Amino acid sequence: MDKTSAVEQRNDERNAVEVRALSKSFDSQKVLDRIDLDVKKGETVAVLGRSGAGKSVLLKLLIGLQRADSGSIRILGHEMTALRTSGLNRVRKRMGFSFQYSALFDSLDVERNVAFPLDHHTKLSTAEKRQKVLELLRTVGMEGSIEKLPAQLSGGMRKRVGIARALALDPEVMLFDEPTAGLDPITAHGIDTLIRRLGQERNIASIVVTHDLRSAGLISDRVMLLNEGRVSFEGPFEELERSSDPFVQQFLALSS
Amino acid sequence: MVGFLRWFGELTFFVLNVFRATITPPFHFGELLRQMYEIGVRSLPLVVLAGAAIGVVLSLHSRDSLVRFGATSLVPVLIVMSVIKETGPIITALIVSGRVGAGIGAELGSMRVTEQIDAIEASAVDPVRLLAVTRVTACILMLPLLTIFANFSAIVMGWIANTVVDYISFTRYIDSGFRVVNFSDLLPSTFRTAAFGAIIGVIGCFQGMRTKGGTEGVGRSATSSVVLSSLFVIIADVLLVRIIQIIWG
Ligand SMILES: Nc1ncnc2c1ncn2[C@@H]1O[C@H](COP(=O)(O)OP(=O)(O)O)[C@@H](O)[C@H]1O
Ligand SMILES: [Mg+2]
Repeated sequence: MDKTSAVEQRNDERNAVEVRALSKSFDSQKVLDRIDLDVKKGETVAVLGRSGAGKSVLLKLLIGLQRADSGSIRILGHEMTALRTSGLNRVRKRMGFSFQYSALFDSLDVERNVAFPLDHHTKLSTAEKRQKVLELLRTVGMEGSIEKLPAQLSGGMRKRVGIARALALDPEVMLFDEPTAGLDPITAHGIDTLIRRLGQERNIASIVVTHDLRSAGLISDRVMLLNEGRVSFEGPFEELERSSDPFVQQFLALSS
Repeated sequence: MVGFLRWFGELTFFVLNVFRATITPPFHFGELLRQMYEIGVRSLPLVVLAGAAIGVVLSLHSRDSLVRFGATSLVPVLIVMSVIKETGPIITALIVSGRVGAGIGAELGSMRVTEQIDAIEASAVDPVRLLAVTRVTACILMLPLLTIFANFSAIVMGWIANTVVDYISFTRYIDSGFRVVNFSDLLPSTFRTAAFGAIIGVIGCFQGMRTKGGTEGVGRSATSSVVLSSLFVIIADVLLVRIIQIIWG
């Protein structure tokens, strides 16, 4: 066995997410162009970029909501681009997705929203499910709203319920799409702390799409900056500030 | 034209998908019951009302026509025949196309644009099973039942309207109305509405689930669901009536 394949094998075990040369276009618009990304268990990677940079598309490709044009996506050792629906679903049960606009089910109250994955994938009793839902809602500080409908919640509350739902099946990989955008600083800080803890205490691999440089610095082990479909920077947050790339400089200058 | 062929191809694929998901587990019975209530029970008042109006109109027209032949004794049979063979089924289907078609198109459309359908998929649940199979099945089961109610309402109101001008007792009306009617008039006519239900459910779900373009897109999906399902119901009606006539003579 040569050296590179031995390294790759080790990567397989360590990396919860492994993206290689991932490309995606819509019609003639190239949104992602040969993206690489690795995320280890317990690691949190922040994905930065202007709006329209393709951050949401990247997350949707990772969980198979959209199909890649080319490239490879390995999640927990499974090649997502090669899987059919049933195979995809087996991996999806081990992943959580927190949507940019929460995507709560309008017709269901908070309890049934959070219980949705439990209702479909576990054999827990009603009491056990309720227990689990309460525990999840406590994690995100929403235990007081269990009977409310999504329409009765503010944006920040919806987002937290969405995160609780994403955590319901104890995922090993979490994808967060702008979890703190549009939230007040205190709620945002609470969510940042939660994301940080998920990595440290539950060994979850997280990818967090964000606009917020400060929160990226706070939560992430590494950051990735997307620009025009390419990765213009990847590495620890501190190095981002030292980068000489003009786009990185501009992004930093205008963000602070 | 290319657009239409493409649309039709996707529709065919969707229908096969729905069909396969309908006959294989997992089944979502809770959601099915909820949809049967939503589609069946909640359409009932409208369907009964429409049936009643049709009954009155049919009674007036039949009388007006038959009086010229001095054959007013045939009024009951004309009402009953036209109601159970055509008017009841088609009115029910068109009313449900309007109410339920628009409802499904808009509901699934808004679930699509607010990423709720993505959220179902991300939770490793098949949205076709959870949303489409349940709604299509509910439409198929509820349409014949609604048709029976519409027919009943039309026949009763036909009697009332007829009685105002020319009293006959309800039993005599029913006796003479149904004297020449047999099961091969009643059953295929009523149960062909199951096919209308399939059309309404499939078109509503298909248009809803492929919605694009935010709130405006939701409006477009609701409208196109109604227009297309009404159109296909009418076309299917022509074909089914012919087929039924060939089979049952
Ligand atoms: N389903 C789609 N169809 C066509 N274009 C899309 C679709 N989804 C995203 N796009 C386009 O891809 C680009 C990236 O979108 P997105 O990933 O949502 O950006 P962001 O980085 O702000 O999350 C945008 O230009 C958007 O218009
Ligand atoms: Mg986005």
